[in-house]
Amino acid sequence: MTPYRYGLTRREYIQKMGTGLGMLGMAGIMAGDGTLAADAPAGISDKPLAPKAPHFAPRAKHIIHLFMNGGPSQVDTFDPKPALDKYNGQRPDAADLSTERKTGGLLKSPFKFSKYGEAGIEVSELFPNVGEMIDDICVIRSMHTNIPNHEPSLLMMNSGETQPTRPAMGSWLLYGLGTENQNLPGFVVLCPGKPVVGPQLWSNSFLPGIFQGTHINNSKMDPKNVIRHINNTQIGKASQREQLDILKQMNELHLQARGGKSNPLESRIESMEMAFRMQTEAQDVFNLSKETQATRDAYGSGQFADACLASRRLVESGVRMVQVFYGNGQPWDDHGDIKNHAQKAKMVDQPIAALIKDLKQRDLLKDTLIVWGGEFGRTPVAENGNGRDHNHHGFTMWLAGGGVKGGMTYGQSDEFGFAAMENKVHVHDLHATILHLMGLDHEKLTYRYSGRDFRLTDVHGHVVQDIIA
Amino acid sequence: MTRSRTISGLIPTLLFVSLIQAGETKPSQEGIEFFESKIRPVLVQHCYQCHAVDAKNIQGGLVLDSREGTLKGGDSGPSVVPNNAEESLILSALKFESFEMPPKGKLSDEIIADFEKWIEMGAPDPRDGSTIAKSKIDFEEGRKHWAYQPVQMPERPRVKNKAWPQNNIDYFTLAKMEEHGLAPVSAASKQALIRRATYDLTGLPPTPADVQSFLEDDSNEAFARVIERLLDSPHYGERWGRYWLDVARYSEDQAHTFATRPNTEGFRYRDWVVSAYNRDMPFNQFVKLQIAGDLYGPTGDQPYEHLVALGYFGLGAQYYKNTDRERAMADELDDRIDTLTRGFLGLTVSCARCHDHKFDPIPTMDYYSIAGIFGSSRLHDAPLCTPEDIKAYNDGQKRLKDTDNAVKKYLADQKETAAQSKVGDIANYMNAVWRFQTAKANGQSLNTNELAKVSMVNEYLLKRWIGFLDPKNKGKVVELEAWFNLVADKAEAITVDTPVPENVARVTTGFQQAIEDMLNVSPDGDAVVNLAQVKEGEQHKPGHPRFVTPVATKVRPKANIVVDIAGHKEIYLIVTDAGNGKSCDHADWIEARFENPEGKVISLSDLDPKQVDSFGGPNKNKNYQGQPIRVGGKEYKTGIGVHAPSKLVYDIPEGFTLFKGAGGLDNSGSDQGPCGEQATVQFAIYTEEPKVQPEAGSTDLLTKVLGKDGPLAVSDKDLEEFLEGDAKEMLVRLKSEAEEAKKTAPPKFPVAHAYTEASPKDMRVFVRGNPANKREIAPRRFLQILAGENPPAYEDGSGRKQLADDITSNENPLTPRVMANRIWQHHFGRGIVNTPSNFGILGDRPTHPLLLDYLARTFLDNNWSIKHLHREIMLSATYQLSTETNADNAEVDADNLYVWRMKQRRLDIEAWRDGLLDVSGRLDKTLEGPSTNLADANNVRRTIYAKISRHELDSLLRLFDFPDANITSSKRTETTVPQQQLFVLNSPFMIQQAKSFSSRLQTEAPDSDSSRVKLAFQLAYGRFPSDAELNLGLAYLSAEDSEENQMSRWERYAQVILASNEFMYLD
Repeated sequence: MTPYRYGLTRREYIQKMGTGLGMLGMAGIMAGDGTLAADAPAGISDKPLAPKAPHFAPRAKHIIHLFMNGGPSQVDTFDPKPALDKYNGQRPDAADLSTERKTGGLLKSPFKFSKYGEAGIEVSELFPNVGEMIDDICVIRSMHTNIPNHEPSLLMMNSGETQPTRPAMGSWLLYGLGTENQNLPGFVVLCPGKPVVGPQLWSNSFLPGIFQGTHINNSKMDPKNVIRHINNTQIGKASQREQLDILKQMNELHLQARGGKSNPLESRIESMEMAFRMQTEAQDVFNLSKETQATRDAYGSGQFADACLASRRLVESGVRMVQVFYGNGQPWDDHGDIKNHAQKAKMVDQPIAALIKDLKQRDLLKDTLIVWGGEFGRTPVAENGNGRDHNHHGFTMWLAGGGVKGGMTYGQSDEFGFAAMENKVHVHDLHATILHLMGLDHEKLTYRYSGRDFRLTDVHGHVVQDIIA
Repeated sequence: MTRSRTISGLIPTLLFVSLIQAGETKPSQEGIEFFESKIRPVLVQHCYQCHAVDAKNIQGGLVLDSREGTLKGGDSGPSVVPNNAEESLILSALKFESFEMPPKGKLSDEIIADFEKWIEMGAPDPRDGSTIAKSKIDFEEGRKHWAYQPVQMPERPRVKNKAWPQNNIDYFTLAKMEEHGLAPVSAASKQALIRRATYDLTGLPPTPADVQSFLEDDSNEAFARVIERLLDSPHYGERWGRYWLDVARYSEDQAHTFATRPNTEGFRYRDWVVSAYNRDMPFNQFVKLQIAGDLYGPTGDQPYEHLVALGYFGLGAQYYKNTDRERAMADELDDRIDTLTRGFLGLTVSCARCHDHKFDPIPTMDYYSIAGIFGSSRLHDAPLCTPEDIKAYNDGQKRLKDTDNAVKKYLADQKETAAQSKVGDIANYMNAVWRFQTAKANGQSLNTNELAKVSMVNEYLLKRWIGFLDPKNKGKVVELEAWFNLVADKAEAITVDTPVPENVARVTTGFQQAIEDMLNVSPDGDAVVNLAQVKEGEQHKPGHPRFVTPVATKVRPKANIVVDIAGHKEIYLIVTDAGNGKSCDHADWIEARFENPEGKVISLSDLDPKQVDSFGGPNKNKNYQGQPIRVGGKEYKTGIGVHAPSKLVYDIPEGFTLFKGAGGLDNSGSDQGPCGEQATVQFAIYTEEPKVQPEAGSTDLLTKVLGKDGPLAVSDKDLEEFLEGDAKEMLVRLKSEAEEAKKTAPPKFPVAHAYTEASPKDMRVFVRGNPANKREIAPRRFLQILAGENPPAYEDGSGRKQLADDITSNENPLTPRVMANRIWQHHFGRGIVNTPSNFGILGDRPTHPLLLDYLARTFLDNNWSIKHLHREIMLSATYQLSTETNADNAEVDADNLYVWRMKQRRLDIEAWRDGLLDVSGRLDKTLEGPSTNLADANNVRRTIYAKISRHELDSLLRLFDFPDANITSSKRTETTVPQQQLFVLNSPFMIQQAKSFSSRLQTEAPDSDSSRVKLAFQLAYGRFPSDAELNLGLAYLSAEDSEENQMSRWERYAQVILASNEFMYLD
C-alpha cells in the first residue's frame, strides 16, 4: 500500500544496476536491509536504505566532506588579497563590517601565495600538496552564510538551518538515495572527539532514525571498537553462529505460528543475519593495515591522514557519505594568531592531496565529490593583534571530483576578501548544487512532516551550474 | 551574473552607486539587501509609530510602511525622491534641517548617511504592497473541515453481526468492517490478552502468577478485573506519562554547546506527568496547568504541581543568542507555538510563521497572536517552597559565607602577626643570604639546612629570603637599593659561619630597623614616622610636604601624625591613593586637632575647611559613607572622613603651633572583599599649595616583606601550628562556628523550570518571518478558526490563562478529539487519525470519524478521564481481537485500517528494556527521582528515568527509534537495522541480562533443564513452550562446546530467549 517514491524493487534494482555494483554491496542487498514498519510515512519505502533511483542521472554517487571545523581563513589559504599588504593596519570603510567580536585594522597574510597547475590558480604556502592537485579542484571564493557564530553556522552547513531542528545533509541523501552497502552504515562521520554542537550535526531529526549518521571517534581507530557492539567479547564466532541458529529456529517457529508471513518479523530475522556479517565487514573496512605501505606513506601519518584513507575505503565499499571533521572542538578557530593555521594545514595538506590522487588512480574520483571548507571563514581584519574573527560575509570552499570542473575559481570576494561580491554562493546554493550532482532536485527532495513538505534548502537554493563539468 | 563590477578604491559610496542601474524599476538584489539591512529596520523602529497605516494617530498624513506611501509623502510633499537627496524631505528631516525627526532625538550620522546613500541608489524598496494585503483566508469555507465540527454523540451504527459487539466501540468498528466486506478475526487467547494488556498499561510483562490467576478466573469480569488492577498500578503512569513526554519533547538540556544551562530539576516535570496520569487528573486540568499553572495557582492535590506542570514550556528550547539574538528569540517562540498547537490542538500553526498557512485557515496574524502571549511570558525557575524556606536557605548561605570569611580573615590577620614576630631576625636572614650569594659568586654552594641552623633562622623562610634578595629583583623594592648595591668582596672560601663584613651588617641591620620603625607606627604604637623629613642641612622647599605617613593598608591601616606648624597660616590635608589607583580608598583624619603651647586643643571637627577638593567627603566625625569612623576594627568618635584623592584646606587659628592626629584607612573600604584588600591611602600635610606629590616610594614595603608573598610569610599549613593560647582558641572557635553553619544550613530548595508573566505586549507580524521586518500588530488572542473572526483580545496579563481556558473549553472540538485519538493510537499502534498531531487539511482523514467523535464525546462527558477511555477501549471486542491474519480481509485491507485484527506491535525501547530487566530479575521498580544514565550497564531503573538529552541522545535510545527531543513527536517511527541486532548479540547490557536470567532460572527451577526451559518461556512470553520448542532448547543445552567461552550454554540460551522476536513483539 505504501507508494514507492524513488524506490525500486529488489529485482528491478538488480536489473538496473547489473554488474555495476561490487559484490560486497550486492551481498547486502540480497540479504535484506534495514526496514521500516509498514506504517511508514509517505515517501519512505519499506526498504528505506536500499539504493533508490535518483531524479536524474547523477554526476556523483558518494561524498567526502572534509570539514575544517572552527573556520579556516580564506585570505590565508585559497583567496589571495594583495590589497591587504598595501593597507595593512588600516581600516577602510569597505572593511568595516561587523562580525562576532571587535576587530581592528586589516591584517596582511603571513603566508605567501604561488600559482599552481595549468590553471595557474594561486594557493598559499599552507597547501603546497593540494596546490599540486588544483587542476582537479574548483575553488569557490564567494561563499557566504548567515551568522558569525560557530554553532548556528555548523548547523547551517550540515542541515541548512541555524537551529538544531533539521536533518543533516547526509540523512537527506540516505533518505533520497539509500546506500549501496547494507552491511555498513550509509552516512559515516569521523571525528576525533566531537565538533562543537555535537551529534545534532549528523542527526536524522524528524526523518526516521534509520537515516542518522554514525559517529566514529577516530582518535583511536581500532577496528574492534569503531562501531558500537561490533564485537562479542564473551563468546567465539562458532558459538555465536550456533546461538544465532537456534534463535533463527525459534523465530521461525514463532513466525509459522503467526501465519508464516509478517514483514516486521521476517525483517528482524534477516537483520539478525546481517548484523552477524557486519561484524566482519565493518571491522575490515576500518582495518587500515590492509593497505600497502606505499599507500600509507602517500597519505602520511596522523588522525586526519588515517581518516582520509578510511574515507576512501568506506566510499569504495559503497558508503554514501563520509564526513571527516578535522578535530575535537573547533580547531581552526584562530582568534589569537592566524599563524597557528600552519600546524593544522600541515596535518591535512598531504592526506587531502593523497586522497584526491588515490581516488583518481582508482577511477573513483569521477563518482566521488570531495567538499572542503569550514562553517565560515575569517576576517581580513585583525583580532587580538594577529588573529582573525569569524566571518560569515564571505569565505572560500572548494570542491573536487564528482562532476565538478577542475582548475577553476568561481565567484569573487571584495578587494580585501571580507565579503562575497560576485557570483555569491550561499550555503543553501552549495546544498542545492551538491544534491544536483548526486542526481537529486533539491526542490523535489521533500519530506512531509508537521504539515509541511520540508527540504534541505528550505525555500532557498540555486544550483551553481557554472561549476558543473 | 551579468552585472560584473570593478571594485575601485576604498570609497564605499562608489561601490553602492555601481550596484544600481539607471532607470531600473525592479530593485536589484543588492539594493534590496541594503534596504532590508539598513533602511527598513530604522523605519520600523523610529518611524512606524506615527507613520504607519496602523499608527494610532498618523502624523502629517505620512505613512512610511509602504513604498507608495514613502514616495507619495505626506502633507508637506514627497518624502523620498529617488536619486535626489536634496529634494527628499525625509533626509532633511533626519538631519533636523526641515523637520526634526524622529522627535525623540537625532539619529546617528551613520544612519543618516545610509539614508542618503539609499536615496542616491534610487531608493530601492521591495515593498510592493502585497504584504499589506488582507489575509485571503476564507474562514467560512475553512470551518467546513471535519476537525472543526462540534463533537457530538453519534448514533450507534447498525451492524449485521449482532453477536460480536461487546460494547459501543465495537458497533462503530464492525460497521466499518461490514461496510468494506471485512469480518473480525477470532478473539485473542487469554495468555496473549493479558500479556498485551499488561504491557499496554504498565510497560511491563505479566508475572506467571498474574497469568495463572487470569486463566483460572472464568467469570465475565475476569478481564475487567485485570484492567482495574493494572490501572491502579503506579507503573501505569510511567507507561502513559512517557507517551505524553514524547509530545512534550521532554528533555533536560539543550542541543547546542555554548552558554547552555542544564535544567537539572527537569525530572520534576517528568515525575509530575507520571503522577497526574496515576491520579487520572482530568485532561483539561492537566492541560491548563501546563500552559498557565502559575496563574491558576495551587490546586490542592499537591502544593506546587501548578508550577512543576509548566515544564511543558519551561523545558523548551533555548537557543544560542550571541549575534542574531532577535532571530533566536523568535525561534524559541516558534518552539512554544509548535509544541502548544500540535500537542494540544493537532494544528500546525508554525506553518503560518512566514506567510498564511497554505492549507489550513490559519493566518500569519494568528501565529503572532499566540507568539505575543509567550512573548509576554518568560522562563523562570520557580521555587517549590514557602518564602520562609527560601529565607532560611538564604540565611544559611549567608551564615556559611560569613563564618567561612571569619576564619579566612582571622588566619590572614594572624599570618601578619606571625610574620611580625620574626622581624627581629631580618638581619640574620639577610646575613645568611649574603653568605649564600657570595659563596655562589665564588662557585661554591652552601647547604641551606646547615646555613639556617648556624644562622639560627628557619630554613623554609631562608629559602624565601634567598629568592627575595636575588639580584634579579633589584629595583623592585626601593628600600633595598643599599643591599643590591653591595659589591661582594672577592672573599676567600665562605662557610656557613663566615662573619659578615661591617658594611653588609650596616645594611642588613638598617633594613631591619626600617621595618621595625614602620611596624611601630600602628596599630596603636606611639611612633611617628615622617617620610618627608627634611634631611640634615637641607631647607624645606615651598610646595613640598611637611609630613608624609607610610602607606596605610588593610593590614596596617593607621599612621600617627605630629607636625610643627608654628608660624604658618594654612594647613593642607592631602590623602592620595598611594599610587595604585585602586578603589575602596576610604580615609579618615582621626582625631585631627590643633594644639598650642599652652595645651589648648581645637578639634578640626569643629572647624570648616575653607577649600575642599575631594573625591568624597569631608564628613565630620563620620567616615566617607556616613557611618562611624572605624579603623583597624576600632571606632573613633572624632575625625574627618573622606575618599581619596582628597584635599582639605584649613586656616590655622592664631597661636596654634602643632597639628596632631592620625591617618586611617577606614574599615568601610578595606572590608570590601578583593577591592578592600587592595585599598591603600597615604596622608600628607603641606603648609603651602602643594607642588610635589608625596613620594609613594615606601608603598607597602611592609606588605612586600610581611605580606603573603613576602619572605617572612608563614604558609597556611604552618600557621595553625604556629598559633597558641588565645589565638589558637579563637581559631578553633571560628572553625567550629563555620562547621556548625555548614551542618545547619538548609539544603537548596527545589525549583521547577517554569514560566512566569513578563510585561504584556502585543507583537507585530514579522514579514516573511524576519524579526527585523515588522508589520501590523497582532493582538494577543485565540486562533480565529476556533474563536471566530477577530475575537476579543486577551487582557489578563500575558493571556496565557485565557489561552488555556480556550484550549480546554468543552466547545473546542480539537482538544478532546486529539487526545482521544492519541489514546486509541497507543492501544492499537495506529491512530484513527494517523497523523496524531496534525488534524489539518494535510493530515490524514479519520478512518472512523464517528468512533472518534464517540470517544471524544465520552471523554468530555466523563470529566476528561483518561482511565475511563482505557476501560471502554480495552473492554471492547475490537481491542481483544487476536493478531491472526486472514487472507480475504488482507485482500481488501492489508494495512488493517479497519481494525479487523489486532496489529502485531513491537515493544518500544522503554517496554523492551524494562521487560528484559524485569524478566532477568534485576529491574528496580523505584518510582520518581533524578535522572539516571543509561550508558551505565548497572543502571537497573526503568527507562523512563533515563536522562533525555537534546544535545546527545543516549545511543541505545536513538538506536531504537526514540524521538529527537528537540521537537514534539506524535508517533515513533519503527526501524529495524542491523546495529540494533549488534546490541542484542554483543552488548554488555544484554550479556548481563542473559547471565542474570540464567541464574534466576537455576534458582527458581533447580530440578531440571526441562523445568527451567518451561519457566523461561513463562517468564519471557507468558506461556509454556511447545514440544518442538522444548526439544529445541534441550538439544541446544546438551550439546558440546567447540571453543572456550565466557558464557555458559544456559547463559547463551537465556540470551536467545531474550533476543527472540517473541520477546519484542506483542500479539
